Amino acid sequence: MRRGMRYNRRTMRREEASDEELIDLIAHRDADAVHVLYERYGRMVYGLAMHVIGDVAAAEEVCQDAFMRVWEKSGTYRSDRGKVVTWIARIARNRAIDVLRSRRSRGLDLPQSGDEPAALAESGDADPGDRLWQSFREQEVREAVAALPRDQRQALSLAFFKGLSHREIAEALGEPLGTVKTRIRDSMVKLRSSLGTRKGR
Amino acid sequence: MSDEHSMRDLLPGYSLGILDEEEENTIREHLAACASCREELASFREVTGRLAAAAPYRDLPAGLEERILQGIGTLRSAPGMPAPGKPAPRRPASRSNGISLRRRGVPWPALTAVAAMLVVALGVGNFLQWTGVLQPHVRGVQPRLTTVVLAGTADARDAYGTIVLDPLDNEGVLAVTGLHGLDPRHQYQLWLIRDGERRSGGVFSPDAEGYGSMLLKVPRDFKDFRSFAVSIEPWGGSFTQTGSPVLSGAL
Repeated sequence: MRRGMRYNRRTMRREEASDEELIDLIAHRDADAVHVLYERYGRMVYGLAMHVIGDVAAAEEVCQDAFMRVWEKSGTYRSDRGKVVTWIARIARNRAIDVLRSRRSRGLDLPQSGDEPAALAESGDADPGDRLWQSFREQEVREAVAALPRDQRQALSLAFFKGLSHREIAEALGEPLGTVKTRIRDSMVKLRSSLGTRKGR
Repeated sequence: MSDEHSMRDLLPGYSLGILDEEEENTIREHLAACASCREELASFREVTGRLAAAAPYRDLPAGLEERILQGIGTLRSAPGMPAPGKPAPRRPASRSNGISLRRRGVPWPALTAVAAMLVVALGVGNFLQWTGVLQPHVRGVQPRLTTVVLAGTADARDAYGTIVLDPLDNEGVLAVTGLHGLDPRHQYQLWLIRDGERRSGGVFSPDAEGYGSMLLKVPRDFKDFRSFAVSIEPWGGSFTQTGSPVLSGAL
């Protein structure tokens, strides 16, 4: 990560820094760099948290946690493993799922009756997960997810948006555990291919 | 002997954070030894990140950034301390054999999860708030952490703090607030105590606001140390505790 970095930490304007340079500055404990990173990606983190949890206070907590974690882990980020924006987004989603699980264990955000797949299939609403994907900003992502077979997308939605484990998804869908694992895996393999995130493509 | 096929099947779930504890332990162990799985995991993580980065944006609430900046170590106030507004004076790094949590400037190793959580904890505002809000979070995320509350003694009624220990990483963090300032010939020293033995956990100096912190190296036998104390010692520390304790706590 440090190789090839040719900027002067003291004099560079933080707003002009690339994402990688910002992370490097943050690893060197530069609070101005955190401010710039927040300006760049705060709305993404907060938006994702709201999309997953739907509660303002919880989403704020996620945002705080996520930037804390960026601060903490800035020294370990490596650009050859992926872009800064996806690294931050993944941190944000992990935190959001943590908070969501914590709320569930305290009795909040439990599935309402009528959310069950059987009830929804009857009502003609194919999959609540579908709605969540439809508002995603990138057309490439929307199309890649829409192209997934329905049962794969359904399992993926439960994992991605609700952080349900394989076991919990199997229970929710009334499917065998092995089937769920396969669907999750197949959906991720397909997305990896259509989004082109395999290394060395 | 692990089944290679079944290991690879765990990778997408791992990248989504949906494995159960047993599966996670299994895959973590495997990843430590398998470079091709590490590479494949990275590619699935990119998928998760890419999906997450495409979620709709939302305008940020007011005051959130300040709370974030407070949490990451540009702390202006610890619990019970004067309100933020006046900048902290610059101090030279205290030469301690503990690493003190400092404000921005000279590079130093990134905070561990333990230290980061504690910095956030003190930014929340008070200890009760921390135990109420973050403790379940801490337990859910890092159940192996041990917390020791330190209470001020009669000599230092305003002082209190916490030690958070992560034995798996052999690390811990001490954070204390409400400390009196010391003259340049003295420092605070942490003691780990067990039957008859007092082992030094390091020395630190408080900042202008009475806040002191230190990263700890947790000795392998830390579980034998049932209690902890902080005393005032000559600068650089003593081999054994000579000052009376200003803070104490027990597991």
